[in-house]
Amino acid sequence: MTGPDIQTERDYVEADDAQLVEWAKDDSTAFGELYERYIQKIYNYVYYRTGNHHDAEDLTSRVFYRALGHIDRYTDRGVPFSAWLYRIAHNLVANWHRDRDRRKVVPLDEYIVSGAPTDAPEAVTESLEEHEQLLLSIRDLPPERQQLLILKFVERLSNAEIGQIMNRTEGAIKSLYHRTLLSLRGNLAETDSVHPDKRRRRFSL
Amino acid sequence: MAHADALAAGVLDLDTLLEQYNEIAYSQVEELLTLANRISQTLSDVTPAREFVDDLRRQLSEGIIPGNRSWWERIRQLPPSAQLAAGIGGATLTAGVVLIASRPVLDALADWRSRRTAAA
Repeated sequence: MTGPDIQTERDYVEADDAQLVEWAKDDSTAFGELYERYIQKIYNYVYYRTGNHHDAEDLTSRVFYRALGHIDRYTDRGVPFSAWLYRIAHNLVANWHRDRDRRKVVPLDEYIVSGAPTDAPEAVTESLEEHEQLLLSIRDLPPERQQLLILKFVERLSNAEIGQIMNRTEGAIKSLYHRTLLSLRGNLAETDSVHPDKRRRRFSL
Repeated sequence: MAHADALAAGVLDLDTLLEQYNEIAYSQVEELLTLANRISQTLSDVTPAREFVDDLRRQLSEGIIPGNRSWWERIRQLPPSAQLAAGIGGATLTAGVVLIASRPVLDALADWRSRRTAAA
């Protein structure tokens, strides 16, 4: 059977990741399907770790280049393809931070803030300020805690899935999550000591 | 943790969750759950530019992997000013290496000339 014949036999949309990975070793269409499934997720992850679209595009490209370059060597040893991709992304982001040897200033105007609660301009401004402060506090967290929050709240992954990506047990992820919230609350409280009026607003639902 | 899972599933009922905790821990838990709620609202989905997604898909389907390009191909991708700077830098470096390498030869030649002059 020739290449195009094989492709017409394959149901790329219905196939699971493991099947697509096997096909993708010599079938670019299969890799294209994996790309479609994960481009937004990986982009989101990288974006929140770098804080700007330019570097997010650059690093996301590198993630998929690397995945394509190494997919023939990928074997599923209990780590699903998605976790493998996130690990590539994590390593590239870590290198990116190391190369710069500093935390990049977050261009907060680029963030898309959701759920503006009201049309009142002053309320919108207050809400934006709170979102910005929270984002800054998140970016002050150690990399693994940032990673956890992004995987949980942006990628909406379960603790088990996060554990596979971060190479930890589900229990360890739960514990890390709890400690991360406490740490974040502490950081925000420090900020609130400078701007006491913000605390009242932040913790009122 | 149930709270985070509820957020992920989009079926958050904060009051029900809070009822699971006793009053002593209530205020602390409430604060953390509210904070988690705010994180969920703040870390919203971002969408990559359509052009970027399409370009990257095309490059991947054509098997263009930057890491696989030769040094010559990489230089050709640089802007003209960078190519010119690289050319000047390369020529200067080469000239320097040639000069340093030729010093012993030049010294030997000068030595030979001086000996010939002395002999004459």
